[in-house]
Amino acid sequence: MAGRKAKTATAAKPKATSKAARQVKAPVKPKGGAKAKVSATDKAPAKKTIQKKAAKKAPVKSPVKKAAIKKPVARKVPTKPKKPVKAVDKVVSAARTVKKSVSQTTSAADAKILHELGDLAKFIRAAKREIAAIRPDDVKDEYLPKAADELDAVVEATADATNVIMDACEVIEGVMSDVSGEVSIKLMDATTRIYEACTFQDITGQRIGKVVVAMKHIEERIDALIGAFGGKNTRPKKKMVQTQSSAPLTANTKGIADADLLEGPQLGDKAKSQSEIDDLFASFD
Amino acid sequence: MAVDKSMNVLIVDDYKTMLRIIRNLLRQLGFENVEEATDGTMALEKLKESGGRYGLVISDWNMEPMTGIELLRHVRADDKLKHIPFIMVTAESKSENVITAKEAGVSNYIVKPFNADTLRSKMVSVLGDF
Repeated sequence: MAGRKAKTATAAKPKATSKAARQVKAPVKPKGGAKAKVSATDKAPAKKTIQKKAAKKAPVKSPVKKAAIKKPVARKVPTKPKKPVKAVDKVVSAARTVKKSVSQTTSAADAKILHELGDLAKFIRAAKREIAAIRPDDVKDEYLPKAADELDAVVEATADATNVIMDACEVIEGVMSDVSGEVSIKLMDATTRIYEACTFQDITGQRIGKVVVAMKHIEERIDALIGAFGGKNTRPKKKMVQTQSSAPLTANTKGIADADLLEGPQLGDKAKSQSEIDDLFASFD
Repeated sequence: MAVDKSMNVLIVDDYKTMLRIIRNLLRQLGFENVEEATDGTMALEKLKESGGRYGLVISDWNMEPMTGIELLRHVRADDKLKHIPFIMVTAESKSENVITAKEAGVSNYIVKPFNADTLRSKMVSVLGDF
């Protein structure tokens, strides 16, 4: 550490020296007025004062050195930030090392390994180029958030439409009392069916929420991929819609965390019907 | 004993459209005094403030910040509220969910999408015929 400091000071010496020289040679204005003639003897004490000041800060012999220490213009030479060694770079580096060491005592088997390693390194370089070409940053920062916004808009539009449908139903319900009993019952039945059908909006919203969560997962994987191939994301992150519940992990008696129970609507065969739910529910009684 | 249709029913769902659907279905079944909450926290506040005047809670499961299952546990842990029938209405249809809800003390379980007949039959099973 001390060595490095010393080296830095030495390296900056010329600059410090010239500054010190300027300081020492600077004419000292006489107290008696600007026009007063300054004698050689008058200059000497001023020179000494400067030297004394410098000496107070760093007791060194040479006035040049003193000044250099007093005004440390020498800056620490900035070292280049260490580039993080990526997994892929490590593999390429290892391949090169093995290639180098094997080439010194090459047998037929070694040559084959060498060849394979060479191919592997080429493959990795090609993969890096291809991944860079598809611009994963764009996918992550632009396309995925845009898709999430579009999906949000779908949910919003279906919600709006559902509310319009229900507004109309409520108007129909409002006039039921104005019609005969039989007609009123038919209208009531029809509006009930409409209300039931409107539950699609909730299911649609939840399904789209699951898609957004899946997209979030893809975003994370792309992030990992960019990281693995030595890339860096320079753009600010655009926040994706997060609809997954952040329910605390409260386990039930079977040890299943509450968060693991939040999967939303199931697809096809996986979805249980109400009668299956009823059977399961009744099995407790 | 006849069901008092003037009872207060608390419906809990984070989808306002779903709240409206359930409210309308309940109205068609004759239940006019319906109040709404959009998550478990809000529902619990309303329940506590009421001092147990609600006759039924119909709640979704998947909500933030407090889920339906957490709300149920809070209700069942509160001496003033634990008697209130609680029906879970949710798209979560896995066996584990039904078992968990049952263990937590749910009164009945409806899987979405549902129809008016299912809602009525589950209410009858919990409250008695109406």
